[in-house]
Amino acid sequence: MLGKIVLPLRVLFRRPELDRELDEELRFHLEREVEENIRRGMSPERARRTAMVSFGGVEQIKEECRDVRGVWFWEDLSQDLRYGVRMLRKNPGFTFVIVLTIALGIGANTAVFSLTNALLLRAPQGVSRPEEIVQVGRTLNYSDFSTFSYPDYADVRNQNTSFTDLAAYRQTGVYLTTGDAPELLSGMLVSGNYFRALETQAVVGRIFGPEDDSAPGANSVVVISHGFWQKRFASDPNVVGRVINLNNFPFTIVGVMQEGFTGTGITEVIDVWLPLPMYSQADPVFVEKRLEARQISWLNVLGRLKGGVTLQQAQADMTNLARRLEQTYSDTDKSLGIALVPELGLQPRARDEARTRMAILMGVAGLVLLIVCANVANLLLARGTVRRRELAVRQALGASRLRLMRQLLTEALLLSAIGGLFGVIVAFWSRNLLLGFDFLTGVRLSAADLHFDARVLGFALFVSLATGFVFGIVPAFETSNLELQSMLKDRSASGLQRSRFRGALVVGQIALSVVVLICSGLFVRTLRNTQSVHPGFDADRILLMPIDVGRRGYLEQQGSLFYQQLLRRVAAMPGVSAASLSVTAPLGGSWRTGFRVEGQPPSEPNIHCDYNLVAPRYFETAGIALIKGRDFTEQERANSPDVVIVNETFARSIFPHDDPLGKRLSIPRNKDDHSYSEIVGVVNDVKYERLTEPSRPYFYVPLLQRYQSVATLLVRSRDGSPSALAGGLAREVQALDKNLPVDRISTLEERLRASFAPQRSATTLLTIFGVLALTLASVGLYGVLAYSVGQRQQEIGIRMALGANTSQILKLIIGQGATLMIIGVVCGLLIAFIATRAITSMLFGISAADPTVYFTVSLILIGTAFVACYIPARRATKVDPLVALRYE
Amino acid sequence: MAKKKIDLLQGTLDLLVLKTLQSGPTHGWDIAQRIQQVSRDVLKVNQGSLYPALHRLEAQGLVASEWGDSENNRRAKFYKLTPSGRKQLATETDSWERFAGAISLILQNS
Repeated sequence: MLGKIVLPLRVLFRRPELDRELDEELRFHLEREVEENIRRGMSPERARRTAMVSFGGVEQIKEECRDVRGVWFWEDLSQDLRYGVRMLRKNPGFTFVIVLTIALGIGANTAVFSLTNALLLRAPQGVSRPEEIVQVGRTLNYSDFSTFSYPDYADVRNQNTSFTDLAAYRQTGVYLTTGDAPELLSGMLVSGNYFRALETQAVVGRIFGPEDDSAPGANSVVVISHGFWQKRFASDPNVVGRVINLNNFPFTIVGVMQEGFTGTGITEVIDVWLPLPMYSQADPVFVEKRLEARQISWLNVLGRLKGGVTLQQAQADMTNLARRLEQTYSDTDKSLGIALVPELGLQPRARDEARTRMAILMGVAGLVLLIVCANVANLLLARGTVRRRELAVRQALGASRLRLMRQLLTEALLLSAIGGLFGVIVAFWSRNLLLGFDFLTGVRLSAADLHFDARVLGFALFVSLATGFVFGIVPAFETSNLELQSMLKDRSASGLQRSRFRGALVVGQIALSVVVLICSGLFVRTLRNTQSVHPGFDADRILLMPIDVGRRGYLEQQGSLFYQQLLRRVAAMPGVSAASLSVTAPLGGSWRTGFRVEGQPPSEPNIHCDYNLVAPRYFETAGIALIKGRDFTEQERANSPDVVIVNETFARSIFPHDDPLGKRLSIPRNKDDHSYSEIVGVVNDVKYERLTEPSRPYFYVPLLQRYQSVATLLVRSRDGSPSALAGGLAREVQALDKNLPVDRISTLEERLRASFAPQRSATTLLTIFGVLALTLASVGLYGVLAYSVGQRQQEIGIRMALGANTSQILKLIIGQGATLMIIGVVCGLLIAFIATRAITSMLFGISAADPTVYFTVSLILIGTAFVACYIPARRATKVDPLVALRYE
Repeated sequence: MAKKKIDLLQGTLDLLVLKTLQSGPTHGWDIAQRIQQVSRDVLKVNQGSLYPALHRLEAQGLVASEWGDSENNRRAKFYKLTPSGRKQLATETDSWERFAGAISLILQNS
């Protein structure tokens, strides 16, 4: 089979020689025939003529001889290509428009695909055989995918039969305290078998082994990333053995990872890896004995499947282990399962989000590409009409219809290949645009993530060829359908079917662009709706600053004192109207706990609810209205009676008939805490995590009563320019403790805006696609009408000669366009109505069948289409009847 | 439609060409002449079929070609049977005779 393709290739390069030989062979035959005829007594001229006649079409014979050489495919291909290149060069304007159109379509698709590739498809670098790695998570009542406690992890690691290695890891920020000012690094706590499970190697020194997994606090070693090594140590080969201080604790460097290794994630950049038992040095929030506490879930787990073990077998193994844990530790492990997710990369929840978002972007980009195909097919059809005479001549000279079709298809593929090449360039160039976008909450892509690997380039190649085929096949079929006789004579009357087909293509384009525009319209409205939601905070007046006294080794007493002094100092700053602390920042996520209402029957389960721990004046600072009761006071400390403030929804849903004030809740700090907290106030509902969330129950407890070493300082500015306060704030903090890091000061407004980023990015991209679609469809409509005006010149001339005036001619042409447009718009609205149901869940404050969006899009399309119609119609009125009639 | 006719001719023409070449290498014109003469002008070989057939047989490896001097001292392309061409000729002759025999049986008896 290979020989059949390769051997002829050799012949292909000898083609001129073979052609010469064929010529000579046939000439010999002819001359021999002439001689023979002369020998029979004919005159020389007669002899030659008779020979010629009996010989038949020389070119046809040659063509057939070439065919049987078995290389016709390659020969014709090279001939078609050469011919195609010549055609394209002869019509630079036509070629430019088509290549540009294709480049935009393929560029858009390649760019979106490179993003999908980075987020969902590409395996993490530096990991051997990544397809064997699975993520392992705990589930509650068969849903969710969350973390392991250390004892559970250790049990599963020791008892499973499915994995060669089961490793645990946990990301954490650590401060590098070697230099003058503390610097925040991205760290990862990992079990001793983590690197072994990933089968990755250090370039300098060693990776961790089981020996680094001993007692808590005993293994002060660190493996650093390649990037960190370059940046901090100038790639010093003798870095092993040097000591760096992390959170004021000395760690000895034992190894440097290979370049590009980012561990388990795809987008995080990790600077340092620390042994898991060093958890309390790495993150002082972890004060408990975490390696023993089965109730504290905090570890991500991954495993490498043993050879031959399928995901299903591993899942069955895990389910058994989970059941055993559930039976043995019924107090902590009740209803907990274990789930497996194949492959590394994004965490399952983020992956779902990425998948939905990418599916929409890829879908819309695909629609744009279809419009591109329709547009190019249209241009090729128009072009085909011009070329019919040329093709008819070729057919008359012996080319079969198949041969003509192949020629036309080769030209189409040539166009799409050139377009694809430029498309890749467009996509490459638009990377910067994509990098400016945040497509996923908390995920920042770098240029390296979007690099064009073989998969992206393969995609571009495949899409280019497929596109070429799609837009090329119909024009090739249509154009090569020649009625020879009538063609050679003059224009044929069979243009009707062709122009119907072109009309259908335009209708398709308009319909698709309606769908794309409605899609982006819905997302634009969703974004606007989201942005116009009032979070319940005075976002524009609040400055936020994370405070982490745990890292300075403060215990509760020292920490509480620090909080109080800080609040007093900050409140006294000029320009500050109020200041407070909260454990979770506004819209910065929330904590969840179970509680019981006093008097609730023991048979009823705990109620679960999100909550926050706040200092006094939190509501005043954030701008949350106190509806009933009072705020927390400075007197509420660890030793005073517990109090709680609830929000309106809480009050309404838990105490629908009673006054909530004075009611008591049991919110246990730990298993032995049986104290009650009295409700002392009711505050307004606000948005706690997302702007699009519905109202929900929520409560607040005093931070000073339930101390935490990590909090966010909130400062309310008097005059509404909070960022001006940042410098003073940092000075106040440093005056209390000069070693406390003071980075990451931001206004709440900035945070809010950042939280819109993923949505805004997707919306912007969709809008770009919408505009692209609209432009292409208008160009398509314009093209068809302009061509039709050209074809109907004679008819228009006659009409004018018979007395039709300008407005009648305008009406004639615009009417033709309007019909196409209206059919297209109606089809598009119908398709959109059905198709947008798929995105209902991603919309906010708007239905997928929003009349305003549908109406606006229709108007935009009709407006644009009218312009596209008017220009050719205007030209039609300029037809000079005399010229038009004389033309024939 | 035109294709079918050629197919029918093809097999027969191929057989005739191979048979003609059995007596020694020769060029295209001579092949045509000999077929015509031997068949007493019943079969007239059309050049439009002959040369594609020769090239096809060459591509199939049944004949080989080389340039040499013709009887009137001009350069001409000479074709000769290859071993596999000889084998092919035997099979084709055999199947043709059986085919022709069968046809004439039918024509005589019914």
